[in-house]
Parts: sequence; structure tokens; C-alpha cells
Amino acid sequence: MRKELYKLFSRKENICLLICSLLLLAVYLFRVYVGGQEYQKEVGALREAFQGQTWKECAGELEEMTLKLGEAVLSETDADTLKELSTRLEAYRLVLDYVNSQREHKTELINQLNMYKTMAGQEPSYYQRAASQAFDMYNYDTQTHIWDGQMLMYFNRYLNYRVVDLLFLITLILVLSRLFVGEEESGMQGLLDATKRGRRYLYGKKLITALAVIFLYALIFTALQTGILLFRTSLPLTFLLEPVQCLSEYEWCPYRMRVLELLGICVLARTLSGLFAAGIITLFSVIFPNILIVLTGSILTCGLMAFHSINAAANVDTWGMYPDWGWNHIGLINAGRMMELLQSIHQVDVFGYPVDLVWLMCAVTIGAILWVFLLARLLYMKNSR
Amino acid sequence: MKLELKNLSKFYGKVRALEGVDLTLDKGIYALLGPNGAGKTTLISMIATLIRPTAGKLLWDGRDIFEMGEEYRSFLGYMPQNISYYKEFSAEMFLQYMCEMKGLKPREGRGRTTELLKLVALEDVAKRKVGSFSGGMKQRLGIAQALINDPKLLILDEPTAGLDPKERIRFRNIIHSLGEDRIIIYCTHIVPDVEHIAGRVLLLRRGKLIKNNEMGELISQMQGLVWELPLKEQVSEERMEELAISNITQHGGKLYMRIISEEQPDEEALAPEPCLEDVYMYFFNESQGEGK
Repeated sequence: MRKELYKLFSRKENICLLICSLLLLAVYLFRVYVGGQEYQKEVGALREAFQGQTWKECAGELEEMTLKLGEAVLSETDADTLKELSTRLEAYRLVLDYVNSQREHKTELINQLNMYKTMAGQEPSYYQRAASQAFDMYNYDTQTHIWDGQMLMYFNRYLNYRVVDLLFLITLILVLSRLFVGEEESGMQGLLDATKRGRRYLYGKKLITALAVIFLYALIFTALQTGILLFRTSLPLTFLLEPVQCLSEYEWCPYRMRVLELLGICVLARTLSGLFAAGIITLFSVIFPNILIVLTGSILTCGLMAFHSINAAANVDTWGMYPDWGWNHIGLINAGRMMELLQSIHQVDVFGYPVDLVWLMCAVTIGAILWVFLLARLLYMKNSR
Repeated sequence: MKLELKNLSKFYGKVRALEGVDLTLDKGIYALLGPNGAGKTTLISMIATLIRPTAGKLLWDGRDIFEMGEEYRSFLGYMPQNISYYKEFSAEMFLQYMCEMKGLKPREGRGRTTELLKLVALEDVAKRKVGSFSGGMKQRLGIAQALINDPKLLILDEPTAGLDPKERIRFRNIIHSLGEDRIIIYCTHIVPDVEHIAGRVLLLRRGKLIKNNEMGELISQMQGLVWELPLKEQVSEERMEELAISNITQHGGKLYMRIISEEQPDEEALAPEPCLEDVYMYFFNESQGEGK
């Protein structure tokens, strides 16, 4: 595999693509690190106040404060103070109601609880905001966010930002298209076919190389995307360890994970989408062993798939999701789409049978590997003559 | 160790590339001669398992080579015509890569690479990229890769094209020393190259094997068919074609025309010792109704 990788990355254009990706990643991570320092201090101070508290303690404290506020409201006669206290009481009550309705998610709720509790105990503008957000949270679960609704909206948007996926696919097509037609292009095919391992073994190696390259790029692109996201939201790197299950469609999502775990799944989903693209590239390599045809054919096919899924996504809300913007879905070869599915639903209907999404993802992954393997086999058989 | 070609034919659509070739090859060096389009490369490609025959069989010690697959290719050495390389590989890396492709273990491959680079006098440029090599250096590297697995069957398609005389002599010596315990099929247009080393000569014309003889036997068949005529004046093109001149030689300060003819072309014509080039000209002289 080392030599196959060398063959790919000794080409100037491929090495340039790789270096550019790594440089961008390094720059973004540096900016995120620097930009996140100040924010981290604020968050640290916020946390300090509630460090060591359990959910029960927090909920108890919240209840106590609500009661005290209630008493204060009852004893107050001044209209302005009464109004302010009522608003604050409303905020506390709403948060408390929400907390009580979501008791089963204790560990995740502690962070929300802390934040709203802090906000409700602060200046009027804070507790008004807290009340407003708690109200939203209580009535519209899809609006639930961990730290700040706006920041997490950015997170969700960037995570599913299809441009990155399209760039990922195009980069993969550019790099991988040489993998299977490189021998034919360089005129080495005949020489290798006459060697002991120049057929089955070589194509096995190429397959492993393809998987490694797909995974490597999936990792780089996801890291880049995360870097951009963290930079834009000014979140510190520690944000990656926060729980993330409340991002969207909270009430239907059966999975509880941290941001980092979610990103790990994103890498896998992207690898999976890369496998489909690799299958398309392989198919073209089998039929037309010419770099230009392989490049054009693969890009056009992926484009057609994108076009098809744009229509599919624009018309129906089959997957129990919010209606999409329409232009940016590219179906199975889009990692973002897979991530949305994973985040938003528990089960999917497959020929009338409910199937857990994780199992479906596993099945699709195996299917994708088999798909590439089958095409590599075709390529080998073609070369066996 | 025996390679048998039984009634071997290859057609590309209606075009006949090879037809009814029957041949048995034992240990030794075989020169495969024939003009362009005679079917040499098709024959070689089939022996190298690159293309399958339309009809007939290729047997190695009685077993079909296409069924043997990897087992057969494990003792096959092949140097194609106009060999190409990964330009970004160094000579050393390329040979190590080929070692891997030929099933050698990494350590074994490293040793073999050093040995072969020395054999083809490329050890000084081992780290240089193949893309920067001259034609001759590329040819030598091609020869080295063909020898990696110490093949029992070595196929060389135009191996000396682009080599300078010194390199050609060196190469001939290498091949000569290898020919004792293996089958070497040497396909070339440069007839003098094989004259000194080949044991048998295979002549292929329009897809058919027209001769399969010992070198000496074939040359001796030319006795009385080769003539040398002193070159006195400018010879017209018509006369040249008429005489089937195989060569113009010089000895004793005089120029001589070497003529292939069943009859003495002139009273002054002498009968020299025939050579393989004469055989080639006799069988493949296009101007003489495509030879005999």
C-alpha cells in the first residue's frame, strides 16, 4: 500500500491538494485556539459557580429559588418591581417545568440548567432572555440548544454544509481516478499483468489504498469543517467534549453522544459516501480505462445523483425531518444527509419493516464495501483476459 | 521445462494475427524474427498470458498456462517493447516494486535489486528518478526487471533498441550466460544481436511460422544464395531492387554489394559465407514478392 500511496501522492497536484488541506486545518485550529481563550474564561467562571452540583441539587436549588421568588412576588406591592419579579419567576418556572419534564436526561440537562439558572439570577436582560429561551425550549423542543441557540445553530448549519461534501467528493474523484487507470495511463499495465502479483494482489492493494485515502480525506475535511465551525462560533476546543444530542430533533433522537463522537460518526459517514464515489470511479475505470473519461464520468454521475436528490428532498418530508432548502441534498453520497438522518430519526421504514438506523447504517457500510470490492473484482477480471 | 504451442491462432475480428502455430520450446535461446505485422508481439503477448488465443493451446510441461495463472507467471520474465515506467519512481524503487509484484519478500527484493542494478550498470543512478533516464538506461532497467525472479521463461521484445554498441555487447553476454538453463525468447529487428547468441531461429511471416531451425542449419541453407559484387559505380534504384541487396560491405578498401539470389547475378560476383541477415533478407524481402 505504501508504494500505491507513493504513486498517488508523488503526483504534484495530489500532494498540493493534501498540503493545502493540512495547512488550512493548521491555520484554523490555531485561530480557534487563540480566539477561544477569552470565551473559555467566561465559560469557566460560569461553570465554577455550579461545579460539583448534581442534577438533583440543581433542580432542588431551582425549586427553592422559584418558591422564594413566588413569595417575593406575593409580598411585593410596587408595580415595576412586581413586573420584574414576575418575569423572573416565569423564567424560573419555565426552566423548572422543562427540567421536570425531561428528568431522564439528567447529565445533559445539567448544563442547560446551569446556564438558564445563571441567566435568570442575573440582570433583567439576562433573565428575560432566559425566560424567552426557556419558553421556546419548553414549547418547541427542536429549538433546544446547549450553550447558546445561535452558536449551535451555526454548528448544525456548518456540520451539514454540503459545499464541504461536494469539495470532498471532487477531491476524491481527482485523487482516486488515477488509482485504477494509472497503470493504463503510464503504460505499465502489460508489464504488471505478466507478473505473479500484478493482477489480483495489486488490485487488492489498490482497494486498501482507496479506503485509506477516503478515510484520510474524510478525516481532513471533517477536521477542517470543525475548525471553521469552532472559529466562527468562537468556541474553545473543549466544546468538542460537550454533549450534543440536543442539536435538533431532540425528542426523536435516541443517541446520546458528545460533539467529538458526533464528528467521529461524521468521518465514518463521509468515508461511506467516499466509498460510493470510489465505486463510481471504479465502474468507469473498468469500462473506460482513460483518465479523462473516468474524471468526467465520475463527476457527472455524482452531479446527477445530487440533482436527483435535490428533487427528492424538495418534494417530500419522508424521513420525518424539517423540509430542506432543496438545493443541497445529494443523497447517499452526501455525508451531511446521512448525519441528518442519524441525528433526527430513530427508525426507518424499509419495505414496511421498522429498522433501527444504526443497523441500517452498518448494512449500508457493508454494502458500500462490497460494492467497491465487486467493482475491483470486475477490474481484476477484465485485466485477467 | 517445455513450452508447447499447439495450433495457436489469434484473430482480431476478421483480421488474422496468428494462425496455426505449432511449436515446442526447450531450454535455450530462441530468436523470433519477422517483419512488422508478422504477429511477433501477438505471439509474445499470448506466451506472457496478456491475451488469450482464439484457438489452440499453450502448455507448460503439459499444463495450460492460462489455467496455471499465477504459478506460471511466477517463473515468467517479460520485457515488453517500448517499456514504460512510473516516472516519479527511482530506479531502485521501481525494481523493489517489481520485486513485490513478482512475489519476492522485501529483504530478498532489496538484495536482488542491488544485484540487478549492478548487472545492468545502473547502480550509480539507483536513486535517480526514472523520468530523467535516457532511452538506453530505461532499456537496461527493463532488462533488470525481467530478470528479478530468475525466470525459467524469459521473453524479451526488442530489448536492445536504444542501446549503444558497448551496452548491446554487454547485454548479449548477459543473455548468453542465462540461456543454459532456461527458455529465452528473443524478439528483435536487430539481426546481428541474435546471431551470436540464439540457438534456434523462428521466422514468422503474416501470422504463420515459416521456419523453426537451428541457427547454423538455417544459415547453411543459404549457401549458394548469397553473393558479393564489387560496387563500381552508382547503382540505380531499379537495379538495387532487382538485385535484392541485403547489405553493402567494405573490405580491402573496396565496397561490395551483398546480394541474395538463387543465380550468380554477375560473373564477378563471389560467394561469401552467409549470415543471419541474409536469411532475414531471403525470407522477408518485400521487394522480391515478400520473400520466399
